Amino acid sequence: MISTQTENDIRIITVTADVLDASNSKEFKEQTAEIVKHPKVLIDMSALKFIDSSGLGAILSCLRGCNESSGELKLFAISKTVRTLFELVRMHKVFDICNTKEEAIASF
Amino acid sequence: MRAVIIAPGHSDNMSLINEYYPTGMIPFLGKPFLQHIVEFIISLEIKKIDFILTHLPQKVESFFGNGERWGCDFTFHLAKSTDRAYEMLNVIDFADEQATLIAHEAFLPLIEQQKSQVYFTKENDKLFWCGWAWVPTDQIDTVTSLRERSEITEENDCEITQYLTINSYSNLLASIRKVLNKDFDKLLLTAKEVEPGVWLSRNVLLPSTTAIQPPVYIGENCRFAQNIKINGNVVIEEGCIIEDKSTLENAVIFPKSYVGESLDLKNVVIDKNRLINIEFGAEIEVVDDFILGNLNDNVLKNIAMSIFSRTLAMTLFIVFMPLFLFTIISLKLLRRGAVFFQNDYIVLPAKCDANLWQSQTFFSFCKKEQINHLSPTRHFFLLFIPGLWKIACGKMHFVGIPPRNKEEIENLPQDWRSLYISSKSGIITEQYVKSLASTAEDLYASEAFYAVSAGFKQDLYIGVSYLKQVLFGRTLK
Repeated sequence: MISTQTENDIRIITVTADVLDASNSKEFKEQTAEIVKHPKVLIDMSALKFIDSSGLGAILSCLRGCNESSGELKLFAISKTVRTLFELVRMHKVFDICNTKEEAIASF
Repeated sequence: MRAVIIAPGHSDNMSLINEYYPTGMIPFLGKPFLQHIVEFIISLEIKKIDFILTHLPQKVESFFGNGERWGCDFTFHLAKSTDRAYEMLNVIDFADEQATLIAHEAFLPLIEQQKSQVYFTKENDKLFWCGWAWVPTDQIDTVTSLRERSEITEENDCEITQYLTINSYSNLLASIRKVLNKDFDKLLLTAKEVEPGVWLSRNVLLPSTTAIQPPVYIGENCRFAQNIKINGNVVIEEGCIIEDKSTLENAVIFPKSYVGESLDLKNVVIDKNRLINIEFGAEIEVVDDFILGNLNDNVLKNIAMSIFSRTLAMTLFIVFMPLFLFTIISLKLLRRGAVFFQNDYIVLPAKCDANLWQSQTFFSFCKKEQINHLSPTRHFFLLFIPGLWKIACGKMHFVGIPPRNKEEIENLPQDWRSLYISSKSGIITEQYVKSLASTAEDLYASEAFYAVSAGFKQDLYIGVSYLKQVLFGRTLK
């Protein structure tokens, strides 16, 4: 579902699933709950091709977790379909969304 | 060479139009204003353009695509807010570019292919930076400070007198006048000038009884009825219908708008049923479709869907009438306290102006707070059957987002509220069918997702899931 790595003291979560929906959003929340407490977190969304309302809720809960520990969370490499949905539901006003990993790291 | 267009999508005092059009996408003589900017930038031999977007970015991205249509390379960046838009400049990798043209979506100054210039414009005798500048790439971090500058102090500063701007309604009209009067002739217009000051696009039905006083611009596929007067400085964008005996002067009619009979429209911008008076700066939404209306294709589809769901609801209400009466009698006998509960809600979709919201009441056999905790069978008896009456009346839908009253809607955060009022309320909600947790983020995700993805298929999927749960039960998560 996810893999993690650390680069320049930034915790990078890579979503390995191509779908984030009701079937796996709970698992995603559980797996990311501790990681998002890190002060700087990036989520690599490049593999994700579809997300539904449960998935959106799971990503939002990551942000809440991050905010609670006064950290920063950014998303990068979002596929076109998922990006369009994020823009339509105005999540781009809630999350920092970057096109590439380099941009995301530079934006901290 | 490379250009970055800062396009936050918001302009002061244009809130009503900005709900539907990000500023750059405001129609301007047959094209979005941003397209005129892009074409101008391309004429400066720039092939790589970055857009920094904030408000309604999907409208800009879907219109411009990857830039192939213009033989260019377009990249889109998202900024959380207008203030953050300029900060994004520090994140973009400019590689080995020497200088970059910084542009703004609301201005189009007539500049030349020149480097190291910062362009200022004057409005009401006050100088300000218009958002355009040639900046050496190694000084890109200085751009943010340009926003505060209000006088020409540096050697590279220059005041521009020939420019177009759409940062307010009055400036939009003034800029249109400049183009129609040929004071600004750098735009590529798609219409033909059939006689001096009269631009006409293809497929326009213009009866001989129409009195035209130039300058006037008429977009594609417009239809005019009899005895219409156009008294100069008028732009009618594509797909509009103007009814008998109406008079237009100093007016802009946005695409797919309907203008009713015998209206005298002067100094106005009209977008479907939205009327903006430039003299008084008033933004009004007109409720009556026969005065001003929307000619979008979806309107007919929505009417057909509404007739279908109302007929189905009425049929089901009649069929389930014995169950309805049985529920009343059972509750009267078994329940202590009230049988009926009255729930106020606002009919959706609603206008932006809260004064035009239409409040309704529906009756159910349960309290509003209990709805999400009911078993499917109880939900069916206590909410679905009594709710059928409201669907039959056309004031509610089978599937939608939860109905809310005025106060509840006003308490929602702005973006949530904006998505909420554009959607439709229903008795069956995704939140109920999927037994989603009711944290604020889950609620927002569920409602926002429904608001943007709702359609016949989505409703059918939620409706069938609900029916299955009523018939076969469900495991509550």
